[in-house]
Amino acid sequence: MRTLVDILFVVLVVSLSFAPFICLSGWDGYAPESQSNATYVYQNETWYIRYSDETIRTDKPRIFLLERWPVKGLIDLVELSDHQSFVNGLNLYEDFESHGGLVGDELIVSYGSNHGNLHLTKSIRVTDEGVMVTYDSDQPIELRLTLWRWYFSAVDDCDYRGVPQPLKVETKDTLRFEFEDGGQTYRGILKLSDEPSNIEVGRDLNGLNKILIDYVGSYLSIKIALESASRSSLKIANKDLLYPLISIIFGAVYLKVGRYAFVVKIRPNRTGH
Amino acid sequence: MRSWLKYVLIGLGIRLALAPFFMHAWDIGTILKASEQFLNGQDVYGYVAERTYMLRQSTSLPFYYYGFTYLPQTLLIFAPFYRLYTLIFPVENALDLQAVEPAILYPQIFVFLLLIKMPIILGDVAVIYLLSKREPKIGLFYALNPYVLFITAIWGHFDPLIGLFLLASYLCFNERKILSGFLYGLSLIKIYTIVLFPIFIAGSLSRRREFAKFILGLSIASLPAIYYLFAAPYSFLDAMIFQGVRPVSGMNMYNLVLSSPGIFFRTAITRIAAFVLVTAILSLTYVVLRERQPMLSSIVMLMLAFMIFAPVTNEQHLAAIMPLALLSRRFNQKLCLIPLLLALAFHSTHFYFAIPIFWTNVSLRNQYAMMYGAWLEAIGPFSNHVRYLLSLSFAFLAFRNIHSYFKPQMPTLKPSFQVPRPDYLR
Repeated sequence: MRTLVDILFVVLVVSLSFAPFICLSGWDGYAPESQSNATYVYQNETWYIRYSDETIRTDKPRIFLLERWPVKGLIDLVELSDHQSFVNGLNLYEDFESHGGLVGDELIVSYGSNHGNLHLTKSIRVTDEGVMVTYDSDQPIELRLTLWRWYFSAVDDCDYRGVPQPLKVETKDTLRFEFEDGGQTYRGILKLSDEPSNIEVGRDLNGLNKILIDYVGSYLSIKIALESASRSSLKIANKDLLYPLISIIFGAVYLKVGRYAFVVKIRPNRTGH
Repeated sequence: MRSWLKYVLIGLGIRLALAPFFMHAWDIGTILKASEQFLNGQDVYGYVAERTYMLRQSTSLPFYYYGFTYLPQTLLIFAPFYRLYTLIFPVENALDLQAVEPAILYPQIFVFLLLIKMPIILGDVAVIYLLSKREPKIGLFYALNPYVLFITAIWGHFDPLIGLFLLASYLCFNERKILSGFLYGLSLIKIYTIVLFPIFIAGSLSRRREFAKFILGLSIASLPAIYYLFAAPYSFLDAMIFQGVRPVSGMNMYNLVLSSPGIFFRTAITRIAAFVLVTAILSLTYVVLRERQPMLSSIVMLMLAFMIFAPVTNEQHLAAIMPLALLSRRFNQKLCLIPLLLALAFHSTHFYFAIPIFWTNVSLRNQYAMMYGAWLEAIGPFSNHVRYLLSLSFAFLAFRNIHSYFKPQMPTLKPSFQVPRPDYLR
């Protein structure tokens, strides 16, 4: 027979199944069981950022656009890879010891060089205007940053088809880029705090996949923002919907079973217990 | 040959044959590390507190180090067997099972695994004996049960040992209160059996002398914990608090948080889960005491309720209920299939399965990794949903099972066809 307790239990299970739809704004983090490195994630209603994980160790941030209900999904925007970034010719991933942590609403990664006493910090912060990634050093440095995406459809309003390498871009503090995802065209913008010494675009056989920025100085911030998106397609609802769906089906079956009073088999009583 | 002896030998033989070749590397590694530290006179809990501190310092996130956070009685059970291992291999006995690439020595690892699992295997043997003496088929069922074999002989978790302590405590509860209290005290090595405390206390309250005896037995078993409470109060309490605030995970209705695994989000859900658990356990305790449910039924119901509502419920936890639950005719034995399926489907990577074998044969290890990887890829982005589906199956089946203890379990017939209610249902 169905009882109030059954109904409460089903209500509890179904209510909890909506938990993945709660949007906790801000930084969060998790670690694998071996707990050697933490992965940091940031999300708000527009952005989803992931920094480091078990496989890549301390690296990137990888920046996504977050589309919410009912079409929640992650759209890869751009990533800043330490593997392909250099300070004074030294690789930021291989030649520096790094250590990340949350300070207020910022993720701050400190780099210490194994060659000399250079100290560099990279901070990642989300503002109303976009994602701000800042490089701050205790001395002037030659910085080469690489921003990846598979693929950009255009950088600085040019798709560079037929243009021989290296694909130079006029140096300026604001750079526009375009990409396509799910039938939509997105336009992003990179706003630098200072004019870099060189900007190049890299490509592989399939298209433009990186933007290289060379800068000399001790402080550089890059604001990454979305300029506009032409939305034309409707995506299938996010797979998180499956959780409430599963719980509702289970709950309904459970209450139905209770209604018809299924009989639980009892093993025969062979002992005194 | 007597049937109980036959079943004991069958159960023992299978467990001894499997034990040296498999392990849950992290949890066996935890027991190894703790036993080593304990025998060297180090503060086991201090080490966990220190690792937690370092982890928090390096990440600025409120993580806990998943180390030894059980009551110290556990060490008195396992450390002698670790000591025996070091006596057999006085040199070259260092094993590191928790490293990304575990450090393993041969044939030391086989001997170590056999010895460190010995208390659990002997515990299982005792359970088979106690069950077979009462109902041979149940004894055989326990001896051959794939779920129990997986937890005991393959993973090497000590929850079946808790099952033995609970079973023995229950069996001697009426006649030998001190022993019963002592055994219940031992069952607290994993703190979750605390949910049964009111049931044992309520059963002892009828006579003041009996109550005092039970508490005396419980106190004796708790002496190591009391010692640590004075010797290393902060680190010991830290470890105990960890068990109470562990972020939600495992085989329960909360495991959908795996889709957003951030620690702050999980902590928020953990608070809700803790509230739900406390409410459920208190309500059920009140109901079973009010309705004067038999002690066996009450224990099984409360432990099942713990498994349904607790923020952290791992596959091995059901093994702590199995020995007692099998004595209860209303227990749904099919419940043990779900944790077994979950363990096989999601927690049997080579790291949690057969490192001793895979580390001797790289091609076998690669083949297994490839096979397991293909499986995970096949379910791909829906692996969390499959896990959730299985967890909910367990929750609903267990909840229904609890319900069945309150109902007359006869088919609904017309009054003229109804048979008198048998004694065992009264």
